[in-house]
Amino acid sequence: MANYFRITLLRSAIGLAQKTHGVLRALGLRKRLRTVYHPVSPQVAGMVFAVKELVDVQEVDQQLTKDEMKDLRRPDPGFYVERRAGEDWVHGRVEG
Amino acid sequence: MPSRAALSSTSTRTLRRPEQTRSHHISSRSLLQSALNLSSKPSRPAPASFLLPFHSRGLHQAATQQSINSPPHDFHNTQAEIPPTSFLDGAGAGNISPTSTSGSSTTVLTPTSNLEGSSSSTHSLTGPLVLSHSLQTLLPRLTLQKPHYIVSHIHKFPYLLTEGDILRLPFHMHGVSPGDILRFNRASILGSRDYTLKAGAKNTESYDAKRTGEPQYIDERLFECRMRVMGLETNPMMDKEKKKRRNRHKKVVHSKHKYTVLRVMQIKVKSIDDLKTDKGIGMLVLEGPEGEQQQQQQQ
Repeated sequence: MANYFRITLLRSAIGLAQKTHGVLRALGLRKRLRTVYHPVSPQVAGMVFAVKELVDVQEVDQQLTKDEMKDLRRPDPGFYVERRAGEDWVHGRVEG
Repeated sequence: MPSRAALSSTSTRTLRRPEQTRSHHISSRSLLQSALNLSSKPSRPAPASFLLPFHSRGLHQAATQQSINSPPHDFHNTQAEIPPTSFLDGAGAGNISPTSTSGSSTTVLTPTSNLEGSSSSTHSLTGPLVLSHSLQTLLPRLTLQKPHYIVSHIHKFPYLLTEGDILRLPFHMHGVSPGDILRFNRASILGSRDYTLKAGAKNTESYDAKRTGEPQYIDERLFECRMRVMGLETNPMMDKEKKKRRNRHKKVVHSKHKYTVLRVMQIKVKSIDDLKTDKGIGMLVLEGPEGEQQQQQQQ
């Protein structure tokens, strides 16, 4: 059973009523394309319903932090270190 | 509400003038200039990065002796210090139908024929390496036709490289020091003069897959690309002046950007024999012409 709502603000509330601005602020959505996680409850569902035209909602099982969401978008580095310089040189020993 | 139409702040970026650098040497010329106020206003546009003395431009020959510093036996399949991370894509290695153009062996100048090899949807080294039928017929030709080029991706950005190239990355790569050997393992295209190997499309698209916008990568077990870290390059010191209109206070921010320089030591496209005998490949799957699969277990 899904535990959280994953709410993303897709459309701005510029030009809309102050109530709508208030709902978005209560959800924690200050900017477009920000994503926020809230536990599933009738209160949150009601808030989402109030701004349903501006927002994209999914039901997910776990909530992610900002860093975790950024990690999902991070591409592969594309390289790894195979050998470090000076690996063969041992400190203090003179190679004959 | 203040209007945003007119931007009241300006910021100009300039190159540092030679006389601005801190120097305790007082020459007669500088005394004369300061006395007569001959120095011009610092509003020159910032030029591109200079050619620094050791960054010579004539080193793009693939067959120089200097490009191979250490003997070939150092470049066998070594265990990675930091093994590459595995992707979580659910699709198996793609079974791809061969493209329409196949290089005809009769003519000398064959059109570039596309080899659609196994896609890299199973990035982990334990997944099976599937070689499609077209790949089995054309890979020997690609392997034999040196020199090779590779389009490898570092943080998703593509770089077209061939042996002996000097690659100046547009950023400072941390955690590496000059002399280290790096292994590039994400590539989208491997090619030679007449043949190109690229990854085929994935079988399934997962909604939950990592959405990084990365291109289709070739399976990393098909090639070896080694780079040596040459060092760091730095741009000249730049001054950015931040100032608002009708306000005498200004702020100067200095920046001196650094860039890591690498050199391509080796680009190796593995042949089918190499893939069969190499350890660490895992399961090798050879497809027949109708799509049937013959599996070969490796160690």
